[in-house]
Amino acid sequence: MNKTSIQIDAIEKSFKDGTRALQPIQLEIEPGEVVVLLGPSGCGKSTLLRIVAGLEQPTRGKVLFNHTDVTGLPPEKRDVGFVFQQYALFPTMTVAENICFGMKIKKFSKSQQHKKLEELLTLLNIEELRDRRPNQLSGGQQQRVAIARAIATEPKILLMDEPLTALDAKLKEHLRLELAQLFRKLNITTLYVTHDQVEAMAIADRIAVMNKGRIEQIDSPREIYRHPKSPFVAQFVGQVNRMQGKLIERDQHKFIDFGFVEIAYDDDLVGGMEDKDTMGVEAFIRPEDIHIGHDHGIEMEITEVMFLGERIRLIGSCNGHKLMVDVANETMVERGDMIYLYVNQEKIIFG
Amino acid sequence: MQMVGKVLNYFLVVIVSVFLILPIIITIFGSFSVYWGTDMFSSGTTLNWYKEVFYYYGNTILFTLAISLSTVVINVILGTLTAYVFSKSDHRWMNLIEEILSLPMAIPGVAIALALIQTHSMIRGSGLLILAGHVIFTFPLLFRTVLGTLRTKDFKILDECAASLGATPFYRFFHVIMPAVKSAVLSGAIMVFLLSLGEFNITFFLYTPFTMTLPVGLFDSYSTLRIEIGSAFTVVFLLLAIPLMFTLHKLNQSSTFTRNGGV
Amino acid sequence: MIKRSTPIFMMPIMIIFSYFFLYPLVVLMISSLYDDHGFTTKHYSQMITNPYYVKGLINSIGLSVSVTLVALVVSGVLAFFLARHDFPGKALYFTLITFPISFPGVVVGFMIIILFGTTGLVPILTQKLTGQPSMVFAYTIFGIFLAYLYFSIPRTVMMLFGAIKEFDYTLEEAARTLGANSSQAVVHVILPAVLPIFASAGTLTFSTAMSAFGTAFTLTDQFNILPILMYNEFTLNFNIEVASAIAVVIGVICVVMNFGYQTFLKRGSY
Repeated sequence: MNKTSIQIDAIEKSFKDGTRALQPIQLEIEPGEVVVLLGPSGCGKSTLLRIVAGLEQPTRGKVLFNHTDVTGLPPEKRDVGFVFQQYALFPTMTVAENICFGMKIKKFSKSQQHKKLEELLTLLNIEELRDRRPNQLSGGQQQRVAIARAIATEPKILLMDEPLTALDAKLKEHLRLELAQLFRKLNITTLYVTHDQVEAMAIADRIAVMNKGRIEQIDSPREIYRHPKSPFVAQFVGQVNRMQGKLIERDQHKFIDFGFVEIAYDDDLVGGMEDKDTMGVEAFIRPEDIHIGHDHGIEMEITEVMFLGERIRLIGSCNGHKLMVDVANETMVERGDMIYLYVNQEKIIFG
Repeated sequence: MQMVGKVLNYFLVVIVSVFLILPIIITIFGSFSVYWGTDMFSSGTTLNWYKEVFYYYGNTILFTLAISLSTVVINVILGTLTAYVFSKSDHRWMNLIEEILSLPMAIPGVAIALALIQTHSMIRGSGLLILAGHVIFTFPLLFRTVLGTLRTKDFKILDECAASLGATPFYRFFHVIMPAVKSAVLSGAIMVFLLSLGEFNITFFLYTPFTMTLPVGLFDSYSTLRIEIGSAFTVVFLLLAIPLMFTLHKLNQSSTFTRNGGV
Repeated sequence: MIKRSTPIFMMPIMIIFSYFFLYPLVVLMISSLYDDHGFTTKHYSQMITNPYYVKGLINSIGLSVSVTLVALVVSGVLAFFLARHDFPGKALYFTLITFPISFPGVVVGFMIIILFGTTGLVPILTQKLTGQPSMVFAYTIFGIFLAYLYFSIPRTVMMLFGAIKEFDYTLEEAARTLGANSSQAVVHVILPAVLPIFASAGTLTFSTAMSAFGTAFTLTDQFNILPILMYNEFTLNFNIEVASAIAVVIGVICVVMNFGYQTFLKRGSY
């Protein structure tokens, strides 16, 4: 099957009351790629998705599929599959009728419809649901039907608007895995919207982190996590400790003093990130990049111990600074304990 | 093809809107004209017709207001109490009783009137029979409106919360329940008043020359008097009904106010 | 949680209801089964044997059915229009449109007289145009039909608008992403979903039309429909038993329709 690429060219969206939902967005999605739009509520990710689908019109800019301009096309002519957050299953039809709806409209033959229906019911594990109505299905089941319905006509592009948001945690985890496997199987260009960063990292080929109508960074999940390019991305994806430091000079050497720890100034790492007036430096360190030392290091008094299952999160105070540290789940520590920490300096993120 | 459909659409909307609204406007204007004919205002304007309305029907209007207000008061007390009892109990029979209490809205007014006439004609002369008919006919509306509010999740949660904080049922009734249903009771009261004000089918069988209500008076004026007086009298009715209907819209309960019968 | 006090609080309303409502209705039904000679069902049987009464029954049902159908179509168009378009003064417009709900039947009749009576707007206009007044419909069956529409349309618009406004538009969007154009989406997705609300509005309209009296009576006392028939039997012929029977027939039809309304309303929430 020929795969389709998507070009989002200088798309802007402003509403009648003046709010700017999207600043000019430039995005290119490769054929067969799964790109996740990740961001908090109101960042514009759903708006962008709906513009690609044709459910909304941009104020400016173009949407192209395989470099063909589709901006003027209504949704029914764009050949996209759309999965809605609230599933939007047709309440008066059975599961089978829902799934076959698109094929019926596009005038597939009865045998084609039947064949595809069976294929999808098996693929999504919903064979026994075929004659049920949407109100007789659980959330997870409805979601599967919605997906089946969207891909039944083998659309060029798959668009998913927070499909897992309405489900409970365990179910989400399970479906996340299924989705990732499904995407491999289908090999269809996919644009996926979510605010859940764990979800995004699990299924994406690339993640576009959005904030206030702009894309802040677009990279593979690993890069986004390891090398966030802005404080927003650092804080949104994964947990961070925020550190305020000051550039100081002592004996001809430069150091950055974060209050509870001091590190040597490294041109490569910090390189001009300091505020020229105050000599202040903003940085982040993830909880898993602070480790327990044995006899020496930064002293921290533990104020909270949170057993999270696969790890333990310690909240504590160093020199008046609040820190979050993740340690192995066998670590025996208690509230009130004093421990020594050291920071993995290579993992400090400067922004 | 789509364009033709759209034009027809707009056309239909305009025609229906004009059909519904225009006569009201004409009535209002006509009530001020000296002579209702091909040239409406050629002879000038006057307030005379209104004077005549009050001359002929002043008592009728007063009587109507008395009846409608009494109906409201009686139903507010009865309806709220009954609704409260219903919301608290889970008895099997309650469903059946609720259906029975809602029956008056389903039964045609003319049937109710004929039934009342055969059993209570002795109180007909005093006008109390009319009051009874109005109370029965309008009871379901207020009852169901208040019951609807009492049954909502929000209300139950409020009540349970107050109970968990130590409030006795008596205290809760006055400090939690009454304030919460105030708006439902108010909308219900307005709907009852409007329903009673415009009630004709029942009252027409029960009235006597001394106990005419406004709609019966309207009928009288349409059939015996000039059209100008009829329109002036209609305007008086509108003046009573419009502000109430408007308030009802504001309170947002108007969607429950679809009268069955009474036309 | 059944409190001891419950029965006591229910007393006043049950007493009033029984005395002023249930008891009279029972008397009504009993009297419909009697005449001067004793128990009889002839008042009911003549509804289907006597051509005059049959005509009344057919007229009532025919009028109610046709008014319901036309009202549903017109109100459907209007409700959809209002749900999808915004214009300045919409709130005022909606208030004006639904205002006739508060009108007693006599006022509705009067409105038709204003439009189509001997000195009505339309005849006056036609007189100005052609020199001869025409379209004096008010006192004909067409006038009654229009009057019934006049009180039905505001009610049905209100009921339909409420439901259509609540309609989940993502369903329409889903249909369009699956390849359906606007009208296909309406036919395949929206209409089936709002059908129950149309059904419930329809049954309520039908039952209101069946029991309407003042409206037609204002326009003419000669038209042969059940409520007017009942009135004439009562006031002109003093035939209270026959009148009672007619009242019961109207009542049964309306109550049955109301149960239909309740059922459709419940089905409306899938």
